[in-house]
Amino acid sequence: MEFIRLIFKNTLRNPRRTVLTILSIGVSLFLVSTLQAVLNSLYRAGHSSSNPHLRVVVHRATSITQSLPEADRGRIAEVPGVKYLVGITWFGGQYKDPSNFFANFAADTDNFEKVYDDFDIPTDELAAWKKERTAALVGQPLMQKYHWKIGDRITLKSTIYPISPEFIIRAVYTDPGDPSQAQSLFFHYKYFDELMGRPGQVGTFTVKVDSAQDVPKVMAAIDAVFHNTDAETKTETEQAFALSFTQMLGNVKLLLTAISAAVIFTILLVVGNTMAMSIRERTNEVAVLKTLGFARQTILFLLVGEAIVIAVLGGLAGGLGAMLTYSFVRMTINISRAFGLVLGVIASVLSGYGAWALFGGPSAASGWLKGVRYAATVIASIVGLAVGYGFYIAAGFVINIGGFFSDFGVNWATLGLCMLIAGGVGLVSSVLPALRASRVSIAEALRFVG
Amino acid sequence: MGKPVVEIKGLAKIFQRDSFAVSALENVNLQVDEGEFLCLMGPSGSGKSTLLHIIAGIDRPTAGELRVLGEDVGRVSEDRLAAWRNSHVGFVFQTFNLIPVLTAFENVELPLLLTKLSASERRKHVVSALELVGLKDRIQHYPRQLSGGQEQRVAIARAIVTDPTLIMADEPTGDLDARSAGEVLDILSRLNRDFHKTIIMVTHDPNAARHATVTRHLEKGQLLPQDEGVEVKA
Repeated sequence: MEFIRLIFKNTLRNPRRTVLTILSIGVSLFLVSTLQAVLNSLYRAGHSSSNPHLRVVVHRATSITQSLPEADRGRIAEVPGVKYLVGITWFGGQYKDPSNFFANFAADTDNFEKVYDDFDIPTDELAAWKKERTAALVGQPLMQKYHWKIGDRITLKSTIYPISPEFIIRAVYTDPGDPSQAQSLFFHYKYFDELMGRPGQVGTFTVKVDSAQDVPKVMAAIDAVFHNTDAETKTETEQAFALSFTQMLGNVKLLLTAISAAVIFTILLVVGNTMAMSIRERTNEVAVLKTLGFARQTILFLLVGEAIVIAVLGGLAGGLGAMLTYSFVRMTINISRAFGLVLGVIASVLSGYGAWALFGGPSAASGWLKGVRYAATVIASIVGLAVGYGFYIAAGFVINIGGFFSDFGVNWATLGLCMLIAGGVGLVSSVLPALRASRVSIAEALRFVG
Repeated sequence: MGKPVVEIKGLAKIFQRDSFAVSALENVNLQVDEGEFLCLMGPSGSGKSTLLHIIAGIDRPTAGELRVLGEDVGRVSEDRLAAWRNSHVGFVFQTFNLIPVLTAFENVELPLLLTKLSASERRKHVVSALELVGLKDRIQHYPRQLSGGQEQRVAIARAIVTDPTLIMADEPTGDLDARSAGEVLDILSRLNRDFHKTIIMVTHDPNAARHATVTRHLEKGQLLPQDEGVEVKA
């Protein structure tokens, strides 16, 4: 316990260096946490192997961006084991401006509630949605986000099709199994097809299968029906289909993991250099401790412990900082963007302090270096303010996309990972210089001039 | 005279500098008895600090026999030697070598952290040691808040806090003004006279040597016969 106190005392030996090291580790691990959060969001859907709703998705074998003939509906319905099916077409509509992005689909209204039997839709609203050609069915979280109410008229401008239809909200659905996932808008396929000049094309068919045992058979049977036709199909479970969206982006996981690894390697170099310098400066002090009777292992413990404490504080700043930041953005982004100034001010203070500390030292006490220090601090503060606010807006945009990113944020597992990485960086960066220092002969170390 | 604390026979130390072998000590024979205040004098490079380091177990001899407080310090393992130093040897450096981030109290407490004493027992020992060197009122001061003389007195308190038999001082007044040097030497004399500590001190300063009971001279790594040095009784 006494040695722990000694370790903490030692971290304050050079406060400027300690704070800058913690900041550099913190910023790096903030980035790693964010990348990890992106990975978690993208792959959460794909990692689920269960198919509790017994739904499979039929799409073109060549690409999910190509559509299927509407006529396929009848042929799929005849496949044994198929209970119900609905055509679902990704519309890619934007509400008012591109930042208001959410999933919206043209859907068959017949049997919709039977295929999506996990949705909770009031019977009268469901009937109203089915009855009116321009009616829209909207997820409850979306209604809250845009302050919509039943009867409101909204216009969506498609990013894919040259149309901007107007809808009347007639029904609201919730997903009791995962309330945050109800982030979509559904409207009549017939309305969409009519506006498009009746091309008779459907993006995908979502099929409700009789039983879990039938799922593999049904998938194989549907694909067999369209084998060797102009529009061969690929049928997948709903979860696998969700994952294929991320595969469209290429090997995102590998890319993000590689970036994370590069960031970790960089902080390893930074902390390693800092610790080596810090330990080298204390060669003489190590000799004194050894003279007083401190054993090599105790010296090693003190030096490595100090590096781990600094790194873990950086990890905590980065991981916990990311966790709190994204929670804050989620809570406030739809209230007012002015909350972004909070992040802006925090980033401004941190970067301002960083510049102040970096340009500090005895030489900056007077003369032109003093001016440089003030100028650097002001510039860094302004840049920090802009970056913090910009980051808030960008993070808010990602969170508002919904879908894969509807639950975007840093979870406890990611925070734990950050702490582990930080601890590992502290250990690896200091063990060699600490080992060298603990083994140096006292007489030699006493003669050392660092 | 008391029983021998340090017994050295035919001790030699050779430093290897690249391809050159530099002889720092040659055939040194020395006995220091319990309660003695020995002053080692000699010009720079004569080997006096090297001899002090070897006796304190912070450097190893190349050849010869060396027993300090009955321990063959030239041959025991480094970890055992560290524990031995902690219990039996107090070391005072020329440049004080206090830890800058620790208060006077914490600096003096350092060697006690390696013992099994409780926090309250440690506190009692530290306060006694600081009281002995006249710095009880500077207990919470950091080294930067102390004068050079006060820093050296804290260093002496650190050296005596474990109640060692042997106190080694390497040019303890080398960085001090005459008044501070006098205070430090008075404390060392008192430790020798009133507390019967065996002290070995290296110095250039003939005035400092006057506080010792025995003075020996080293020249070019060789310890001159006792009658060739200046023996001064305090």
